[in-house]
Amino acid sequence: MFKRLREPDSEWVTIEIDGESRRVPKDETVAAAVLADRIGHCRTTPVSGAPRAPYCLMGVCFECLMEIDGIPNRQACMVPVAEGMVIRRQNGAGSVVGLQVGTEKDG
Amino acid sequence: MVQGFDALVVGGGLTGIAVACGLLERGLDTAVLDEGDVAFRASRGTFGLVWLSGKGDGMPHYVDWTRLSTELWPEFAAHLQELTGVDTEYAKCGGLYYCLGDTHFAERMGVLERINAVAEGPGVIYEVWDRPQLLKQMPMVGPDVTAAIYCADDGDCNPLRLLHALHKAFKMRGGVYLQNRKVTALGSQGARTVVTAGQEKFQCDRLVLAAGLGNIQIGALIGLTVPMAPSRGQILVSQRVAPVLPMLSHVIRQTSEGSIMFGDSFEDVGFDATVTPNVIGDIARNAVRTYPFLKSVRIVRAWGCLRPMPHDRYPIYDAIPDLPNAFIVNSHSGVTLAAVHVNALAAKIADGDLGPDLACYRMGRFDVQKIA
Amino acid sequence: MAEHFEFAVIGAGPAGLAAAALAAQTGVAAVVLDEQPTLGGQIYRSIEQSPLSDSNILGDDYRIGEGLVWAFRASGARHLGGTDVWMVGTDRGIGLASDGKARIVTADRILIAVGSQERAVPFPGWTLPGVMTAGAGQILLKSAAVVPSDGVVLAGTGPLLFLIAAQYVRAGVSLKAVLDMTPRANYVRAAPYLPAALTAGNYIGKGLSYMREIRKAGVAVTGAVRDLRAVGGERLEAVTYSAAGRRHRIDTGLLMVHFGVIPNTSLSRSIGIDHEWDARQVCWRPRTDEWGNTSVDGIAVAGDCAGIWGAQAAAHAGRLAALEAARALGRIDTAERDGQAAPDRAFLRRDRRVRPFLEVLYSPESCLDAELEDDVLVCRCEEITAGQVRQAAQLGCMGPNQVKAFLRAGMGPCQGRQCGDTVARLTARAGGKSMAEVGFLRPRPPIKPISIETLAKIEEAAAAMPDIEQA
Repeated sequence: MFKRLREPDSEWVTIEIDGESRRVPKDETVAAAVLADRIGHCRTTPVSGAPRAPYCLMGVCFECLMEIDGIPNRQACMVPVAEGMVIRRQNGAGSVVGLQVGTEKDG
Repeated sequence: MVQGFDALVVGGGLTGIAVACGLLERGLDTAVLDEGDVAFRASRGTFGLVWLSGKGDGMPHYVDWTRLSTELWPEFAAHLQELTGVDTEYAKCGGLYYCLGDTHFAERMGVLERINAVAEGPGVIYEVWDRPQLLKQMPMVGPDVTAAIYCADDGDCNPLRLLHALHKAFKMRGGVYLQNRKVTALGSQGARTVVTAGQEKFQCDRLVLAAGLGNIQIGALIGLTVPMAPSRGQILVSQRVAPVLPMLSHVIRQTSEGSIMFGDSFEDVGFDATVTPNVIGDIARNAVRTYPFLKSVRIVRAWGCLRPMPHDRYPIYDAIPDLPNAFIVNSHSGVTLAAVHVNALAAKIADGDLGPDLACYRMGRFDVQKIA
Repeated sequence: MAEHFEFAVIGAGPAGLAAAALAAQTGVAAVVLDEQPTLGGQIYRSIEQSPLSDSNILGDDYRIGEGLVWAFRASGARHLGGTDVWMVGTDRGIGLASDGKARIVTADRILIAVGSQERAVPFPGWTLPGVMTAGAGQILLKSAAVVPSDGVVLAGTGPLLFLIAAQYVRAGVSLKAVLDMTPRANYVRAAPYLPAALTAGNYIGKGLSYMREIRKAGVAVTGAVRDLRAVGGERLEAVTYSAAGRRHRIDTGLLMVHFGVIPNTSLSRSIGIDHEWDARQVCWRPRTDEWGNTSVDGIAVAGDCAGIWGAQAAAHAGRLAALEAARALGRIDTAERDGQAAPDRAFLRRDRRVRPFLEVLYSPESCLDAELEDDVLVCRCEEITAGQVRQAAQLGCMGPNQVKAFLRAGMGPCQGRQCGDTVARLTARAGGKSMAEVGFLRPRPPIKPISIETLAKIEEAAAAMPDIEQA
């Protein structure tokens, strides 16, 4: 769906998107990195489980909520990537860190 | 032109619309006069507890009245859902009162013991859970929680769904809902009360003033000092998360949608519904002490809401002097008491007599009441 | 003692940068607070470190930002980047959060310069992955040099649609189609305003040059498009629309839409500042005087968050607000303020002559007038449909706040930024009222989500600041 006009260089960092390792420019936001990775959708909704993807990329729509470094409900378009960052699609409402809970509604 | 109704209720919040539904059910042709989209609207800001334990310290009848409402609630909720299709999500799930330290525990026990010492009915039936017992049920509580008091009669509902359901029921039963009407004068013509709202006049055989804090201003139109004041409560609500709280406490509950509500302050600050950083900071600190694992949960909204609080915190149910068949109804427990307001209270108002058992809620109990 | 700012400017776009720089020149201690780590706002995003090797892609207008940033850097004003402003009180207490820590600061004067957001216009399928705003596409281009790889359909109305199309052409992106939803009648209605518009900056000429560039690249531009639909299951598969009397379909995995921009009023509304409905711009905006002063003492607004006048006007409006701040703070007197403001006022008078033409030509009314089908989602967060909102309105909901209470529309994390105006519009229609009459959703602090732990840690700051308690 999207591609980068830039070529990889030494300034790029390694992050993990849904379990897969990726090299991305260090000045990108998580949302840009995820879109360039063609993962299609970044979350499913807590209401109906519908897939959603980043919509506005400027912090207004809250469609790009993802689990970043274990914390759910973060706006991927507002968070810059960082070396070693772990990014996961968020299914439904997202679980709470530090507590094992039953299966998620929209898992 | 004057419009005539059997009954007119001023106020479209939980208390007004509940009484109005009850009057309709008793065959009275009923209209509700409400303000606009922006008003005090305590009913939109409430926490959603249907709660018995701890209520009525100093007013024995209030324990029974609240108990009656909690007993009526299951049928009331089922009936509303059957009629409107709106699920109020009522659950008599039992509620916890968390004690953070021995002093806190002793204070709470004192309240419950005082209530039960003078209770006419069963009073509050509760269990004290020490920390090991609590940890079996709620292993996620923080180390500062030393004990909990459990009451099986306590529960919760979705107060906004309740408001929606009552409005829908009122409309479906043929009630007349008139918005953007602000009462500007009250008077009488023979045996009927006349309500003026701007250019319009309404006549009725039964008038109920149930406008929450608005009753202060409406009362002033006829020289009636309503003995109540705003009490600000601030509430925090989180983004939705997967279900993590199997039980509710009096200040933290997870809704069926998954958001977690953190309540709620009692502040005597006049007509100021502002959210203040140090109060929401206090609420957040209490939350982190109670449930440390919730620390990374994100708060998406905080609000301040003004409770219509009678000076002694108990309801006001009274006839209005000098107006025929006119009543004033004020309570800050519009959720818990909704079931009894629809039933017992509406029945008494329909009869035109509140009767001796509600005499303890008359305004005469306050020395401050004055006819100007 | 808690931190105190003399002049706190919220937003590092053109209005905020120009305001802070000029205020600093008059001796006012100015600090710019912005959620982004870098300067420029969305319009000049990544201006100091563009990821694009070809600087011609974004065009000359983008480079104007370089001068603004340079002047800001030279002025001595401070910049606190990566800082969320999550609440502002009428006492000018400001709740800040950065790096997971929250604090409360105070300011003598506050300037809100948070710019605009794209107008959310629901249509069938608009929540499918693969549908996004044209502004989002532009942000990806500016900030990350990320562009569509397999083609894109652009649809909607407004100048930005053609700007991004031209930028994509320069970047070598394949444009499957540009679907211009501007009704033909709007050209006739706008024509009388054209002569005045031609006396403003070179806006019309630039717009025409974008269109020439697009057509020269062989892109199919379709005019008078109606009834846009995004079609797909788990994601976008195609776009369908009506034009020239029949339905058309384009297979595409990516659709970018644009329906103009509206002021970003979340913060100003959450404070309780008075707002008014602007029928020409079809949006709410704070009620202000010429200097940006609002109904709340000491809090001003400037730039597109005060009304849509464009990036260049925003910088000048920011300067007016800075001069007023300098006057209020005793650095200059009224005569000096007025003297220094003369060139900015002259610029704004001339620049604004283009607006009536643009407002009429690119009026969103035709896109908003389309009768929304009952099953189209209006509130994206809580998944509330147009039909549900209509039903609530029939029950007597007098405005969007009661609809929110009944349905949860506007109660999700975006707090009605996307659905607020649509819910109000549906309520207004059902009740035969105007937008001004039904009012708007009141956003609640925190206007940016903030963790419980972060909130719990503001104790020290608040304790050191007794006056905040009176907020």
